[in-house]
Amino acid sequence: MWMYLQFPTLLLDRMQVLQPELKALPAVLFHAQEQRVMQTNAVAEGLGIQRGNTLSDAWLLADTLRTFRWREARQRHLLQQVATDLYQVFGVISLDPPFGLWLDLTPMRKLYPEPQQNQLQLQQQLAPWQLRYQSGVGVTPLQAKMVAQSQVTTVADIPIGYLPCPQPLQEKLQRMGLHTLGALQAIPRALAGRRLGKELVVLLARIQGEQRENLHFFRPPVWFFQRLELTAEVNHWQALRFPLNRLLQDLEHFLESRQQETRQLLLTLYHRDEAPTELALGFAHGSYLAHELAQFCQLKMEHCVLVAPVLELSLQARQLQPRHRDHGDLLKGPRQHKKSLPRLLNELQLRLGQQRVWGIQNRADWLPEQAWHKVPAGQPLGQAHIQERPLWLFPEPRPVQIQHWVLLRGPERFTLPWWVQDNEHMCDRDYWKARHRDGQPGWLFYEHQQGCWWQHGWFS
Amino acid sequence: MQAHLQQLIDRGALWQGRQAQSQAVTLVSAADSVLDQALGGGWVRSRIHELQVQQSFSGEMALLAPAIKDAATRELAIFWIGPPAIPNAPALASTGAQSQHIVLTPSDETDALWAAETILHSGQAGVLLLWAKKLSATATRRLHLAASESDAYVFVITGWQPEEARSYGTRLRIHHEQGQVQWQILKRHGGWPVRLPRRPLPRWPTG
Repeated sequence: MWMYLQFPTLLLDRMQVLQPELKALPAVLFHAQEQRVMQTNAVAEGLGIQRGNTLSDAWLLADTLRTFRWREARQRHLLQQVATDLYQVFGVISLDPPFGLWLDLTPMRKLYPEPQQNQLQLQQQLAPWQLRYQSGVGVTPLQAKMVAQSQVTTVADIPIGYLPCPQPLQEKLQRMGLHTLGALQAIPRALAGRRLGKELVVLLARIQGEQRENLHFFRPPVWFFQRLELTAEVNHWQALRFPLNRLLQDLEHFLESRQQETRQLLLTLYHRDEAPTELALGFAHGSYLAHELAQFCQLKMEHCVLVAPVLELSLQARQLQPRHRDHGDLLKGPRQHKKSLPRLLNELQLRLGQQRVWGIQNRADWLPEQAWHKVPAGQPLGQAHIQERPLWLFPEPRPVQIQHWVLLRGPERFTLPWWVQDNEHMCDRDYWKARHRDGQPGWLFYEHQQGCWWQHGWFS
Repeated sequence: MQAHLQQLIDRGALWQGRQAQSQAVTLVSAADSVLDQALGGGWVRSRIHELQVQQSFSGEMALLAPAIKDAATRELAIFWIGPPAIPNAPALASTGAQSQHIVLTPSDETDALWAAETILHSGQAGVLLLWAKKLSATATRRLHLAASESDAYVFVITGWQPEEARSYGTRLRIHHEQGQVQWQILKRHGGWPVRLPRRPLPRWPTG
């Protein structure tokens, strides 16, 4: 058994959900070359605008009409998104772009033994999308498609006009008095083949299920991309917040259903003439919650200036990874934190910059520069492998006047091992603990190659 | 008379002796028995403490070592905002291998204050160390509010400041001369300003 879903106004329905203010206005999508109406919303239909009207006729019927270009690529993309969502309740889906898709009900029979259950699941899954759709059930994919398009109750009643065949053949059939599929099926196949050509025989075989359909089965996408057209040009970040939140909520839904999280977002703002602005957001720790991501976006946006008015907005998330959960301690109970550490670090990095937030960690090395290293913030300090080290270390040693110092303890010699080739940066050094004439204890070394004294840190 | 009194109290010019013991506060030692006594037990948690030093590296960090250790045992992170040099990992061994030290080097003071506030609001900090040139009264006030909701010891390390009223729990000025330090407490909880006797320069605990 197959079910076909036809979405006559898919793209426009979606635009209305993303921009609720459109619902109150008559709105149509038009075909740019033919200047004809492709999709209409309920208000426009109430005013008498129909699919196939010329755009000028539509303007005559409604002077407050909002018109948008119909873009097939975008509708195909949207159809994929719908299929992705339906994939949660139906296992076998095949796309029929740009207006419909098939669901194979046979493998789902174990899960939904009653036929009504299919409909119920479908309604529940599609409810948040607020899409208009027509469904039809048939033994073969073609039957289901024609039933959905014609909305008749039995297969035999399908008007010839819905047969997927060229216009001249349809007219020929009409002239022969064959107005329904039932009438066509009633005449012997061999006779029909002789009079009307092999093409029709093949088509009938496909409708009857004697010949298998070549369907490409749908596989859910591995990463997230969504693009949104704004109702008006936007000059400020504040006005972008609402549409962005919509996109982030879709992203959350996408990630939630996969138990994944993202560590990177790419936000693209499309302008009229300029090249699109791209904003890449990287997080130290994965996140999937829309409100969290919205805050991160805001932190990033506050620092940027819009070069030109924004017409469209898209969101892409590619670096997806399985989720990690901080479960807290079972015995101590849930942690009393208002915000998790990963989230805090994400926020700090976004505002201050990646390079300005880091952790420190010990390393098993005796050279002063190598005994510690910068790590991504949030990692533990680790075991120290060396003792008697100063608390503060200068990023670069500073030259000092040795007259200002009293050497206290030393020397401690550091020699680069012979296998290290790069001995330009460091040669043999004698480290001393010394006291400055002001009284603070410092860490000095004498470099033999240059023959001068340097300070590398403070003990206090 | 009452109104005048209230005004003085509001301005912080008057200190009422009875209030001192009413609240239960968590304290950590300031690494020196004399200083602990003067501060009424040590550093108070969820308050901000100002340490004024003429020059960095004048033994101010040694006073904070117990607080940092305490944060590590509570499994909370230690935040260093704008430190004057790199905290050397091997020397921090006394805080334990599992302790988390997070260093922030903001480009300006606005970012530093924003970061400090965000960190305190998150409740993730055990100790927050902020090096700042000069903090305005508003900035201190905001920091104080954020600190009072947090579970952290907050220290602001700064140069010598004029003695204007600020919302610090403690204001400590460190005089350092020839390896000797003298602590001048400009403001403390439950006591008058005081100048403590000279001590040798305290050392950061090793090992």
